[in-house]
Amino acid sequence: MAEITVNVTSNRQGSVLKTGSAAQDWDDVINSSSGTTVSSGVNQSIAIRAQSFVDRGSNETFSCTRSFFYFDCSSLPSGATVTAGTFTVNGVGNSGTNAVTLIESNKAFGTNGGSALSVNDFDTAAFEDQFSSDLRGSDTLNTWNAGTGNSGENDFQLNSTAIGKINNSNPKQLVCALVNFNFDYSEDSPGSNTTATNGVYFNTSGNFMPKLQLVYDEGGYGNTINGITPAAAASFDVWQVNQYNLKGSETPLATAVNGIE
Amino acid sequence: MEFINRNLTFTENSIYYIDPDTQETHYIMMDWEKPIMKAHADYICSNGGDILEIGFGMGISADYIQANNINSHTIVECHPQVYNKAQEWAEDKPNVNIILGDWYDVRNFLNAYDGLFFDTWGYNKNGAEFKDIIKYLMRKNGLATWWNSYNKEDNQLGIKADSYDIIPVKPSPNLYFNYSEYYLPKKQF
Repeated sequence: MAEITVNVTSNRQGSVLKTGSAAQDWDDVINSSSGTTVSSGVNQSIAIRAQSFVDRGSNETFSCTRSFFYFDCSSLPSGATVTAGTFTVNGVGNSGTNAVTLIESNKAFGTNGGSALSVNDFDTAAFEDQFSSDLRGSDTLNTWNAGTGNSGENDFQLNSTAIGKINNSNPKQLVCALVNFNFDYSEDSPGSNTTATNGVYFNTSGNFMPKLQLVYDEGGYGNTINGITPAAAASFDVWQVNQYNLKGSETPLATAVNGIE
Repeated sequence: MEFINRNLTFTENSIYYIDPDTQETHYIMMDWEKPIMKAHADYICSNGGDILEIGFGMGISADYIQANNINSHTIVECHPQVYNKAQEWAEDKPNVNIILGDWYDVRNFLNAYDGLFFDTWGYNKNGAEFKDIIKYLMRKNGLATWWNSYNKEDNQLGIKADSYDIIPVKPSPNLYFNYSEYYLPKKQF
């Protein structure tokens, strides 16, 4: 097994805010086809947010912010199979009931990183595909860390769904979003005049850029390839082919094993 | 941040603040509302008497209330900047009394009135209780109306209106009202 760090792709991160109009409820906001504002700054204090605020005549208006990231994983060696991974991002601050979860964003950045983040990417979060079970507030991640160094990092262990997305994409990539778990992912309306916020450092250089740390098996003999372990491969036949080739035999006893001729 | 702590900007056409977190402009009130402010004011003043206005805003409805034949005009305003504007506006109006504070906090300083217009902005501590308290603020046959953000015969305050006047409007872009018809609630006690 080997490891590789994949930093977020340049200019392919940021947040999208959706502020509802009068008389729109929470469901209307989180199911909107587009957001209202894209933010691309490095230090964003409301990168992930669920909010209810009271405006004219005690009317309740809702807003929601989601953070999006695109990772170009093509630096993985050819034939590599990712077996584990961690998404890491530095936090800015937090408030309220603000568990966070990592989910698939199946259309953001033009699906392949070809486009910058747009307001239309707000609705591209595929909530059925959760990429991590780590939630702020759970036993495993009970604080949203804030800061620009190691102590400010927040780690999300990628689950099998996320790893499958990387392995099955071509070229290899991961498009994901951080959303509030309690209200956005769970679709429960925040209480009147309440706010839950997580800030994010969208660092563009250095050691603390949003990143994936991936563990992978290298392709090739002796390594697990697409779930086939070395013990399951017909290694003796491969040896035979090689021996015949070395001897200049006209007809090998075996011609192909696991795609190797 | 609570509304009363927001730094408001006053222009000829609007009052607004910019949220420092989102850079969104939140309009508090705009001058496209003049036709509906006139309708609110004329309705609650149609029997004259003592009038209560909760929320001063740009003073548009206050001007229309003053244009009617009334005895007194009490205004409750919670935002310090708006309160100062209201005081300046009232300098030459002897029948005006302005109270600074959240309407719920100052409710014991209020009497019963012949007309009431409720038009607040931002979180008020007991907004949900207004539907129960309003009857104590009204005299018999008193007329009440309130801002309605819904574009239908319903309202966010949960008060059952007797009827609604539908007023065509052309709102400038804002986050609080974007419909072409305003449903003005009317209720007599």
